[in-house]
Amino acid sequence: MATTTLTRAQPRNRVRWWQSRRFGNLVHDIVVYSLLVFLSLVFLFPFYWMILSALKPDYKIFLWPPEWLPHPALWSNFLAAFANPLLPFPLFFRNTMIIEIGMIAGRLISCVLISYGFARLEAPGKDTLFAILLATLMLPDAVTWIPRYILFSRMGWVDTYLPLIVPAWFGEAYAIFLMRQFFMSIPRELEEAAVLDGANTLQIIARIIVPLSRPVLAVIVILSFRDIWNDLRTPLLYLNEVTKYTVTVGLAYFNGQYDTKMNLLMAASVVCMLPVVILFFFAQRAFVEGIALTGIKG
Amino acid sequence: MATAILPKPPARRSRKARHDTIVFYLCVAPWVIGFIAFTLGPMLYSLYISFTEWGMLKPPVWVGMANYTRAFQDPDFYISLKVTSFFTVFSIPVSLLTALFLAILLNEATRGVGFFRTAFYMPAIVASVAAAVLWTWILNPKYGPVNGLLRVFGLPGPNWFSDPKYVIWGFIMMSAWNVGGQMLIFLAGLKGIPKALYEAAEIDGGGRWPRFWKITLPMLSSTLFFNFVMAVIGSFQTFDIAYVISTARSGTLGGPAKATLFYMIYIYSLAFKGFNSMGYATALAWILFIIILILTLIVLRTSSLWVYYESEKEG
Amino acid sequence: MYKQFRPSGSFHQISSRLFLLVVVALVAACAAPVAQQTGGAASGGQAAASGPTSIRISCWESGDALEPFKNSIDAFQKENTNIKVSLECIPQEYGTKLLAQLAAGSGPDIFQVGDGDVAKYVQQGAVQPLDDYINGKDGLDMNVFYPNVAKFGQVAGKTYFLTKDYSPLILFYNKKLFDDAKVEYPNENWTWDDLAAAAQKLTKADGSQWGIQLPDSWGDLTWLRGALPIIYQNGGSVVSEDGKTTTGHMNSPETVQAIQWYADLVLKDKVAPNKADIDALQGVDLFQTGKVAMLWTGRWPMKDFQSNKDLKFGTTTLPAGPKGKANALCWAGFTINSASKNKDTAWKFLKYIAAGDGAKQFANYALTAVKSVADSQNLAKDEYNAPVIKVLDDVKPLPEFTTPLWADCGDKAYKAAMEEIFLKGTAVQTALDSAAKDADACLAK
Repeated sequence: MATTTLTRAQPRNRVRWWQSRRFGNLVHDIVVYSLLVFLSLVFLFPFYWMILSALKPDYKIFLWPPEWLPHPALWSNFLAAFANPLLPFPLFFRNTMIIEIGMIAGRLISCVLISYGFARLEAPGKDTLFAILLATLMLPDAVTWIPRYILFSRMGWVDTYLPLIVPAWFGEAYAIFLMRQFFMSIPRELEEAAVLDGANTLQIIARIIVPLSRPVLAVIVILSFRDIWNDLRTPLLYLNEVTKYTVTVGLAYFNGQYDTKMNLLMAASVVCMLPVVILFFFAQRAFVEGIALTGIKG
Repeated sequence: MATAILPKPPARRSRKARHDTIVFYLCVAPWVIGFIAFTLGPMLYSLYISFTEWGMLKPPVWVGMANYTRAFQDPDFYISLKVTSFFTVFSIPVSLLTALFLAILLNEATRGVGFFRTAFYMPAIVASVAAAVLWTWILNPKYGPVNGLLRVFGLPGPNWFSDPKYVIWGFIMMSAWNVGGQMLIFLAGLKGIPKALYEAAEIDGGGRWPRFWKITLPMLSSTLFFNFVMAVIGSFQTFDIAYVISTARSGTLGGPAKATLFYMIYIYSLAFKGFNSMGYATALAWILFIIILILTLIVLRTSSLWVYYESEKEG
Repeated sequence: MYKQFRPSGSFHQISSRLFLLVVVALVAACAAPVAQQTGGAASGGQAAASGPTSIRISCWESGDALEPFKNSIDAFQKENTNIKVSLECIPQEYGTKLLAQLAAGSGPDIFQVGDGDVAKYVQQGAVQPLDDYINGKDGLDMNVFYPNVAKFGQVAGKTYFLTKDYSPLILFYNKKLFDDAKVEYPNENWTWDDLAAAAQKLTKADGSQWGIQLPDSWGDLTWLRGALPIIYQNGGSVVSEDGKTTTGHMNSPETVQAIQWYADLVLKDKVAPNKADIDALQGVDLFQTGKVAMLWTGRWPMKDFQSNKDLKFGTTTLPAGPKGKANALCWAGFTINSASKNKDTAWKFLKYIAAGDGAKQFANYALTAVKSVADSQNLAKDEYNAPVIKVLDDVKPLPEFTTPLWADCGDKAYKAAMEEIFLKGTAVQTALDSAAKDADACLAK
């Protein structure tokens, strides 16, 4: 313990060593990191079981006490999970990515524009529109599945990706609400300077708003990605041909009617998670920088 | 905030105001068009359906207010309201506090943050089919880790998913595990608090704890507010959690003994499993719409009491 | 001044707009226009002008169960080069999607329906009566099917569905466990008492083995279909023949006595796993792992059992109750969409998979309704399948046949009563009395 150094470093009489900054930082870091390590173990523990189950024969999954290290590890489960010719997972993965990219691009572009309008501009009818926007989140969607299906069916969009992608290009209430909240935190002074330089609205959005909103844009990308990744119902409803299915639909096929091959389901789930984990790992870096710029006093 | 402070635009509007109006409508045009094209029609159609008897296979038959009056005599309507409210009242504080706590911890850390962020977000990524299987194991009455832990403390573990008294607590635990989205939003909010405020506090000699109460929490209250509003709206529409668990366990939707008969589960089973009851299901959905609307209103109206506005303080 | 992103001050304005919406919605709710909907199916698939005719068939299958579909479609298309059949199967939300498609007028030409939904689809006119096709030029002799099975596709004397597959309930038993306990194997002459006595002897006090796993919906003791044979074996019933009354049926002394016997096996004698045991062993095949000596269920797991080299098992018919033998089927059938544009082509394919060469493909996966196909598989003589064929004579009609409201009213009330009995220990008579009362109130609507 660096007690002596700490005591010597006491700047004022009333500050004891345990109140000193360095000791405080040390305690703080110990507390923070022990909590982080403990909680991340709690959060990750089920995933360990998931991987474990993916490496076991079916009948061993629910044995007690569990085999904490599978021996022998059945790596062949991973091959078996993806061997079914009826379930072409690489194709499902490609399909999912097409939808993800089409949908996220649309949502980002449209929502930035729409949210800027709601956050910054004054116009008659604005509050009514925003109230309607919030209200659209409140009607349970189960009762609009059928009317929506009829609508898209009449438009000839069934069995295409259009019902999954196109609506995103017209904004999404949750993302608009969230983005609007963040945009309103950006000091107007920055824009005013740009206006003086002769920038138009689109230029202001592109040059000032977007760079300053990286954390919230990252949140929206991550959450939108998850929306599609975990959506089972919409693709099931609108897509008819197996070759158009998404990864989640493919996973649902493991849940057989009379028997579920748990180990294969787990193996497939683990593999399907990996790309998303990697994507998240990179996307979350947007939190590091970004808003540091906004510490500007008005 | 400007919108609140500025008076309503006067009758004689300036060029700037006209310009702003035009730009505003250009900006929000995609949403207005999308709303009219994809949402308004289905919403109005569902409103019409709520006054009919409809099985989706034949044209709907007008029944007037019958579906709405039926709800108030339907014991399952009250059960589903009770289940949903109970879940909402407990799951919102539990999951919001978990998310907030994780976000603050992550914000305090300096090294390996990426790893920890990913760890806490992982539950949000796992396919719901697999998550449901995971939870049937975690809460397995004999062989699950939760009851294993309870046994260590000499407590008898309940039979989670088939005990009507405990099943909802199992769901609350699940919702606390899956808070990645809310956590990220808190994190983005924390990143938005200007360092200058903390620096100023440090000069004043404030400790970590006072700093948290005096700066972090007030500055975060608007993020908390966003998450809270969305949680209220979302929680009343809880569906997936109960649906995937009952699918994974091949159990009764809403069971055991109606203990997980969430409002949306009831609507779903009426709409798609029932006979000719899409109209009634839709009426229930509109009743829920009104309930959520009123609750959101209450939250919005009371927000000034607990949401900190820097602009108001500074006048 | 720095501004943290905040809900704007204008929330007061927004909230008043929301308040306005409440008012508008309430007003709309009271005074919505009496719009008359034309509704109905607008247009199905395209009629064949020239070139190959396309038809679509939908199913809820996944995994191996898709193979008979694929194989029979391939073979059919080889014989009929001018017809293209596309297969649309989804593993979940089948019913939701089918309803959406039919409501939008874009339903498949052929689809499958489970026994519980037959009355609903027929009553709503979504399915094509097949009698004209059966008696037409390209007709079908209905005598090729087991009569008790074919009946499941008929409503009021008309045929709407041809059988896809089905299963009665039978009793599986683990020979090794019977040998170990020195108990005689179950046979076709067994009664309820024989079954209960054997189950007692095969139950181990330490909880490692039970005598029998009861008819359950994969873990749910509330499954009516599985318990229906017991009710019938005691001369009970659950609903009147006109489908309007359950009082005096669902709570009749015969039915109460039957359910009492069933519940006692779990709660009093403890020779069958209860809810907690089933939960704990979620995901474990109790029969294959030797945790239960007998299994009362459909024919579905037989293939798995046969492929398990370590398992020595036998099958027999359900025991006879005080009023003799009775059984119930789980059944699924194919039908033609009444809005299909290509009904003649659809019939051709339907006939092929339900009674023609396609039926042989389906017979490899599940039980066939075509007698000649079953004979070619030697089912009636096969040691495992003989009881399955034998009990077809004992099959009784389902409550689902009497009213399309059965699932909403009768089944729901029964489930609630069984949950009361198994989870809360409510007396059988009390629980079924209140179930009958609820079901009647619901059916009267």
